[in-house]
Order: sequence, then C-alpha cells, then structure tokens
Amino acid sequence: MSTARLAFLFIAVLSMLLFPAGSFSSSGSEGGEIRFIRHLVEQQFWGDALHAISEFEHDYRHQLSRRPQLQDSLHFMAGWAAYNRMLLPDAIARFQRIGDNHPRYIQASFYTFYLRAYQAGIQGDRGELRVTAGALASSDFRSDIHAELQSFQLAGVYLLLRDFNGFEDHSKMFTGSYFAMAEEQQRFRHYALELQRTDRKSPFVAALMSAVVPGSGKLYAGRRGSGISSFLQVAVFGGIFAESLTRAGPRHPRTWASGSAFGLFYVSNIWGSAIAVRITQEEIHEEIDQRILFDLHIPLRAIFR
Amino acid sequence: MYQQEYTDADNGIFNQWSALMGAREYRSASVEAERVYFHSSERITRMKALLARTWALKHLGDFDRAFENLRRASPRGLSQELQYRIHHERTLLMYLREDWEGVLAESARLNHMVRNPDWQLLSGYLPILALLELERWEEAHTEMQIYLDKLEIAGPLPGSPPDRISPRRAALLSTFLPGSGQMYAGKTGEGLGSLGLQLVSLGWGAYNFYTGYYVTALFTGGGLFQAFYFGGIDRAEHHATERNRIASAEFNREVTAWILNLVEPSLNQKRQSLSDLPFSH
Repeated sequence: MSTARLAFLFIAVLSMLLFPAGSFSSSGSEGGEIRFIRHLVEQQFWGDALHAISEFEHDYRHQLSRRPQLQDSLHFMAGWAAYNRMLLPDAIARFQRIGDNHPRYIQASFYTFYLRAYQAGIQGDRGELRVTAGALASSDFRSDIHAELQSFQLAGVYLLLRDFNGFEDHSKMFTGSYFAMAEEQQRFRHYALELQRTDRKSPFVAALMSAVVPGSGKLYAGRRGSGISSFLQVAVFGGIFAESLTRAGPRHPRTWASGSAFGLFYVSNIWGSAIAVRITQEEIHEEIDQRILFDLHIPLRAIFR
Repeated sequence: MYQQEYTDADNGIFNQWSALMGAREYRSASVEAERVYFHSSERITRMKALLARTWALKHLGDFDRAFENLRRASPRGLSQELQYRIHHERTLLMYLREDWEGVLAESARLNHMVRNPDWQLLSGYLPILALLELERWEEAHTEMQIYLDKLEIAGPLPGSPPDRISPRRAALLSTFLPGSGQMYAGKTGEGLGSLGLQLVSLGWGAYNFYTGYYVTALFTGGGLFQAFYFGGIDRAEHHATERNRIASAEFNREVTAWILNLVEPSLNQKRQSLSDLPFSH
C-alpha cells in the first residue's frame, strides 16, 4: 500500500471517529444553529423554535437528506414544540417521521398515540380511537415500564370507547409498581366504576319518582338543587290551586288559571326529571373523558422527562 | 441568515436584525435577536439583543412576551443609555399590559438609575398616565404640573375629573325609595319602570290578602315584589358603577391624548440626545 493511500485511510478513519454520521461539529454554522434551536426549545420559545427549524430545514434540505439522525432530532424538537403549542396535527406528523433507531423514538411513539387519542377523544371520533388502539396494541415495547405504559394507554383508550371488556383486559396488566402511573391506574378503575354506575340510572324511574314526589327524580339523577327547587315550585302552585279550589270553587276562572299553572309545573317537573338523567349522564361522561385524557398524559411527562 | 459569525468584534452583528425589521418581518427579527443573544459571549451585546428582540415582539403586538423577554436583562453596570433604554421599555410595556402599579415602580427605578434629566423626562409621562388610570386624579394633576414645568410648557391643564356618583348611595336610595337609585345613576326610565312593577306586584299581593287568598298573596304578589325590589337595588348599584367607569375612561382618554400631543414636540427634541440605534454603542 502506497504512503498516499495510507495517509488517505488514516484521515478517513480519523474523520469517522471525530465526526460520526449524523452529527455536526459545533464550531460550524450548522452546528451553531442546531445548538441555538436546542436553546430555543429549552427556553420554551416554542414558536421561535418552530420558525428556526423550518428555516434550517429549508436552507439545509440537501445536506439533511444524508443525515437521518439529525433529521430525526429536528423532527423531535419540532414535534415537541408543536405539541406544547397545541398544534396537534403538526406534532403528530413530526413524531411519526422519527426513525426507530433514534434515541427518542419510544417517547415519540407514545406521544403520537396519546395525541391521536386526545384529538379523537375531543372530537368524539370513535373510529379514529379504534384505529389508535389497534396501532398501539400492535407496537412492541421491550422494557417493562414501557409495556405497562402501553397497557395503561390502551386501557385509557378503551375507557374513552366505553369498551369495558377491553378496559378490563388491559387494566389486568396494571402492576401498580410504577410511581409514574400508579395513581392514574387507580383513577382509571374508579372512572370505569363511575361510568357503569351512571349508565345504570333510568329516565323512566326518574319520571316515576317525580310523579309521586315532585323533584325526587332530579335528586335520583344527582341534581339536588334542581330537585329541591322543583319540589318548592310544584308545592307553591299546588297551594295556590288548592286555595282557589276551596275558596272560589272548581268553576271559577281563578281556579282554572291556578290549576293550569300547577298542572304545567307538575308535568314539566316529571318531564324535566327524565331529561335530567340523560343530561347528567352526558355531563358525567364528558367530564370523565376530560379526566381520562388528562390522566393519560401525566405518566408520559413523568417517564420521559 | 445564521451563517454569519457572531463574534463580538463584528459591528454588523445586528445588520440582519435591522434588515428584517426594515422588511417588517418581525417574527424572523425576534428570532434573529435571540440568535445574537445566544451566540454572543459579550454582556453588552447580549443586553442589546434582548432590547432588539423586545422591539420585534412589541411590533408583533405580543406585549407579554416582550416584557418577559426584557425581564432577562440586568441593566446594572451598563452604559447610561442602555440602562435608560431597558428601563424605559419595561415601563412602557407595563403600561401597555395595563400594569399601572408596575409603571409607577419601574418609573421610580428609572429615575433612580438614570441620571440624565432629559432621558428621565422622555419617560416622565408614563407614570402620569398610570396615575390617571388608577384614578388618583390629584396626584396625576400635581405630577402633570411638575412635568410640564420641567419641559417648560405653559398652558391651562385639562378640566377637572368627572364627578363620581356613589354606587352605595344608589343602592341605599333604591332600598328606601324603589326606583330612585336607578334615577340617581341616570336611568330615569328604568327607575320609573322598577317603581311601577313593585307597586303593581305589591298591589296584587294586598288585593289577594284583603280578599282572603293568603297563599296567593304571599307567593305571587309577595314573590314578584321581592324579585323586583332586590333586583332594583342590584341594578341601581350596577348602573352607578358602570357610569363611573365610562366617565373615567372617557376623561382618561381625553387627558392622555392631550398630554401626548402637548409634550411630543419637546420630547422629540430631547430624543435627539439618544443615539440613532442603541447598537452603535
């Protein structure tokens, strides 16, 4: 081997050691800009970070195609910034583009699933929730904590779908041994019970109860204030009607007027009680959905700090 | 744009920022200023970069972020002009964020740290405007007189502040003479309406009571009367508070415009003592 070839080989090996694929020298302008983008992310200047990343990607598009590791890092930072600015579709798109050999791949995957579930949960898109559950279930996470986090997220998505069997299957995997999600796992079990208890309430029973004792159907629905108020209204109009009936007689216009008012309030109290059960159920479902979506993201924050 | 080297010896370090500001690309300008802040190791350059970023954010109308950004600056030990610029921007941003007490505190800091009397005067109108917003009329009047004297501007001061009416008195009036509180607050029609409704509901209750319909008297006449009576008291208090608010806002708007118009020529002259760009230090 000639001296020139040996020298070339030596320089090539030295370059590989000093500048491994996908990394930049911090002394160059690209490296400086990457450090600047990291600074923007660390300072939580999310909008500025997105702006700087898109400028960088535009100006270095040719070089970036040869540096997948750096490209993935930019996707991660852009996804993180977009997530913090609540630009969910952008964040999902960025996280999904990260390659599986990037150190943040698992974090990006979990955030992708969470954001997809969050979006679908907010929009009430059950089809997308099912697709998300399927994609999450088919992922293979090797470490125990990630496997348990996967079960936790799946259980949450099935709760959003009101698929209690699916929830049961995945909540069985909860060990409760990870501080990052033990409390949320307990809460999920509590939500499942609360949802099932709420769904058991019947509008027919509420109507029947209010027909016997005005306002009691609303108490049964869980609306104490409204129940007491209904009882008092019906009682007052009943009292006025009774007074008119005894003093003026059944044919007097005063009796007809007060009787009509009493009848109207009595019937609306029955009707209102039946509706109150439905409205209360909807409110509880909506509130629990919000809490599930909130609880789903807490372990992510704790595990991937 | 980031290909330029950020060495402190380079006097053109803010050229890119200036070009972006000139092109009204304020978002890019704010990022560029942060870039200068990040890459520079010299304290003065970093402080100038914070100012530059604040200006860009101010143009974007993002006063909260502009203020938060300037909180990172520590003016102590800098040149008098840079200290003035930082304190002035902070005071102005507090005014724009409607933090009136903050304006007074920051303005006091400016007067303590900046010794140039001309520069003190350049920001001197801000605490007066803040005192107006705080409805501390007498202090605002005194401070205005002192400020105009220092600027050597003579002339009559604007009229006296609006007469305020007492919401408590309005409520009390409606308590003892239904409808009168609303009339006192300037809502004569509503006052008369409230009085009429209370008389009718009371009359209806009395009529039923007199004819022996006690339950009807209590729950219809009595119920309606109490609703109109207590509602009338609340409305009287609300109208009085609202009237004071509108009158104060109108007065403040007029006086603010008056002060700014009056002092602008003098301030323009004094502004010449500042360098064209703070970055030419």
